[in-house]
Amino acid sequence: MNGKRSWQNSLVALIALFFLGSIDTVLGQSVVKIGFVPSESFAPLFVAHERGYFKAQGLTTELVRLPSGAAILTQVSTGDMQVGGGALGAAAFNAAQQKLPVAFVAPMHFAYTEDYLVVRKAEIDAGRFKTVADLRGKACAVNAKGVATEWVLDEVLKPGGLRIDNVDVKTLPFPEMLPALDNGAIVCGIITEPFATQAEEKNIGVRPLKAKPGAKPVPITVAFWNSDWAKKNDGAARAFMNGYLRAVRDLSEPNAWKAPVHTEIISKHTGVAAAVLLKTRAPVFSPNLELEEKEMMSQQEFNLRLGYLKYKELKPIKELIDLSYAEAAVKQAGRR
Amino acid sequence: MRQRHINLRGLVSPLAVGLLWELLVALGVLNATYLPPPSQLAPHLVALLAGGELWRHLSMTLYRLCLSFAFALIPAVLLGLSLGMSRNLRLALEPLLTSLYAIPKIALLPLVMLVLGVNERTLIFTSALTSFVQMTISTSGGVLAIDRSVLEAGKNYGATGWRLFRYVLLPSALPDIFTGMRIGLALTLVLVIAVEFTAAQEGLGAFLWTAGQTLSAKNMFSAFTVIGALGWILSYGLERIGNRLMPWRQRSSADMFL
Amino acid sequence: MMLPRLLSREVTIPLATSLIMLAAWETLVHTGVLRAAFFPAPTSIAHTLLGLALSGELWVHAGTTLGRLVLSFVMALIPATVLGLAMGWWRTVRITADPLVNLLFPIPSIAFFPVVIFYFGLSEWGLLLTGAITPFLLMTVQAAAALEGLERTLLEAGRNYGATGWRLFVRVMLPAALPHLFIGYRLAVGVGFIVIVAVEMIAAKHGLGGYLWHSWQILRIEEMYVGLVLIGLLGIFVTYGLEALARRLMPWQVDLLRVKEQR
Repeated sequence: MNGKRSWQNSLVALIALFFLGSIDTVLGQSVVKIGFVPSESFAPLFVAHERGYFKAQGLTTELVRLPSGAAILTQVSTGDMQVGGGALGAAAFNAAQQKLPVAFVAPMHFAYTEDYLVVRKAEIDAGRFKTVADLRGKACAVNAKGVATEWVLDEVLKPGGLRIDNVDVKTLPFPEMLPALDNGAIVCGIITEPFATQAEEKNIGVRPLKAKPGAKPVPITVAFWNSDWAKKNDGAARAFMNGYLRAVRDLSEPNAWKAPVHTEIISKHTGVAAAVLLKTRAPVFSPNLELEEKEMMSQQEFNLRLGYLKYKELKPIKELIDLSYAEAAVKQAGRR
Repeated sequence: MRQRHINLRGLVSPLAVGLLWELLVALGVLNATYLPPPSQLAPHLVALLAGGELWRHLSMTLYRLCLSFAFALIPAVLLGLSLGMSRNLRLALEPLLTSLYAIPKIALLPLVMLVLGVNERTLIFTSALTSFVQMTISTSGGVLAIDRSVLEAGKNYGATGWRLFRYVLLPSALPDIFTGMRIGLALTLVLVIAVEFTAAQEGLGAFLWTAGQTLSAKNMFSAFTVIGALGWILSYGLERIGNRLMPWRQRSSADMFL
Repeated sequence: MMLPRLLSREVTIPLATSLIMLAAWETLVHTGVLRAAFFPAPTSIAHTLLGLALSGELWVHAGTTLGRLVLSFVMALIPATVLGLAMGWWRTVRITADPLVNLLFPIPSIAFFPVVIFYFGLSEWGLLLTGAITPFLLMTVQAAAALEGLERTLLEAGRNYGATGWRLFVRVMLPAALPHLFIGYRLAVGVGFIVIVAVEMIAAKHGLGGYLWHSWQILRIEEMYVGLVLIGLLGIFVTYGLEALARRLMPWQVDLLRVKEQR
């Protein structure tokens, strides 16, 4: 049985080695891990990291790609990541309800809902689409349910007297929406950049809606962090917010989106070519990190109505967000 | 001599398919944007290889593949052997193994991420899990399938305990264990790619995902080619090793496959 | 009569270990070692499961996934068996198809999804086709191997009894090849199941994969576990179902993995 024992010994050794990898989590406490998905919504985080704004505040940050928005939220709530970003979707509301240690601390990007709706070009050419009301009963794609883009669909349908229940909703990842539009599997989709622009470039789709002049963009994504971490590392949290604010202000400058320094950074982390990025419609950022409650309540309401939430009554937004750090950072830097 | 003959003929069908593809694109039957023909694909692939980016992804995948396979193989063989030899152990672990076997491990990825966090460890663990379960089952099956008469003969010649194990049981079970290993390796590759596809920034799977995201069919098909070639090389390599280790073994059905 | 069987080792040991593991999990959650938000107690998972079963939602999802699995399996089965047997019978076919099969296999089926979507749109056909690719490859190879592995003696015996051509094929080769074919079917069902679930996770409204992913996305973790449990149950159901079928079709065959205990 000697051979068996040596096998067992090597097995134990291997397992030990495997878990030695966990040393990195212990040593890694000083690094702030930021979870992201390759989307341009995360531009402020990319920019702050790459341009050294966090470093200037004394923070070492690490960008970690995660498979989905939900993953970012869960990994931040377990403390595996310290910071993340994502839409105010059902997951966020449910997380708050379950008292997970996640705090939503600053807006990330805003957009005009009109910029998201892409309608199949063939429909328009054939005259079948004149207004949003013509979408009744048609197939419309969203990338997932219970996320901000689904809410956007509802919002763009409202002016045509429709709600999301009046269309045939299909779930598709963004890239697949383009071939689907092309061959008619869907008539419209709520498509994010750069895919929306690419759809237009390839003559597959058109964005028929224009934002009203003077209309305000709506918050789509929000930055959040692990509140236990923030409590224990107040200094780091403030440092993060300062660096974040700087990046947001950079991106709020006129034509900031097209600046080569920015497109390069965003391209690096999203895998989208800089040339393509330049043609996309830029997201909007809030240089004073302001978030309006009205839109967020509307999003909560939407998710509640569709039965995604674990609770039945609307909660005040104050329970979900904590803008104190953002306000402090803005105060320190001075309002724009 | 015969080997070389077959290898050359083995190239004929891919070439034929390539030509057919070109033809269909030229005729407009196939859309080159979504199905780039070899004439467009080949230069693109060469450029990618020359550029070094693809090598970086390839080596990452290989690294994960080796680690996942090693972490799956050794516990699987050990556990499988123990299961094959002890009925009680088999019964005790049956519910866990069966349920684990039945669930597509990719569905477990969110859960694994919860426990282990999002890092290299999680990727390797999830990839290893599928082949671990499968190789455990193959190994225990290999032990269970041993001909009683072989064991009896061994005992008659005075082999007991360790010697029985090392000189009778192990060699008899080895062919099945090895077949299990070959399937395990192929499965590990599929899982590594799938996990990279979902959750990694580097590696062939990640490259493939980005290609899909950026709507680059040429990148996608380049990735397909490299992954396919990798799988092929691995299985041939393992078959050669198998032939050297076990010259006595008869070719079983799964050999044909890999 | 039943009681001794129920108390036999085959039943008590697995049952005992399962119960112990579930009880341990339950305790860990109640004592707070495991966070309930991410690791709900088995009792609360069961509770959610029950609610789902009663509301009928469970059956819709499970039925959809099962249906997709069966359909894509059948879609793959027929061409695979035909091609595979042809490969086993005619050397040239084998040499032609072999490299293509080997090259296509390692690619995860979900990667084919975008290409399939383009040509088949978002219809069920797209999903089914994607789920059929790898099983098709698997079963083709097994079918080819099945013929190649046939014992010469069997064929000779058949011929000696006057069976030739078609009769030789149906009455001698096919039954002898069946066990090998079934190994292929079992592998194929396993892989097909994985792919169907994966594809559902990306793009389906109904079906267990979609349900699992959606629950995860909106952080309804209990529902996610319910999805996992259901997927596991479905997987077991399908595996054992196939085994039962195999045993009926081939009573002479002793399965490698379920050898009747002799020790």
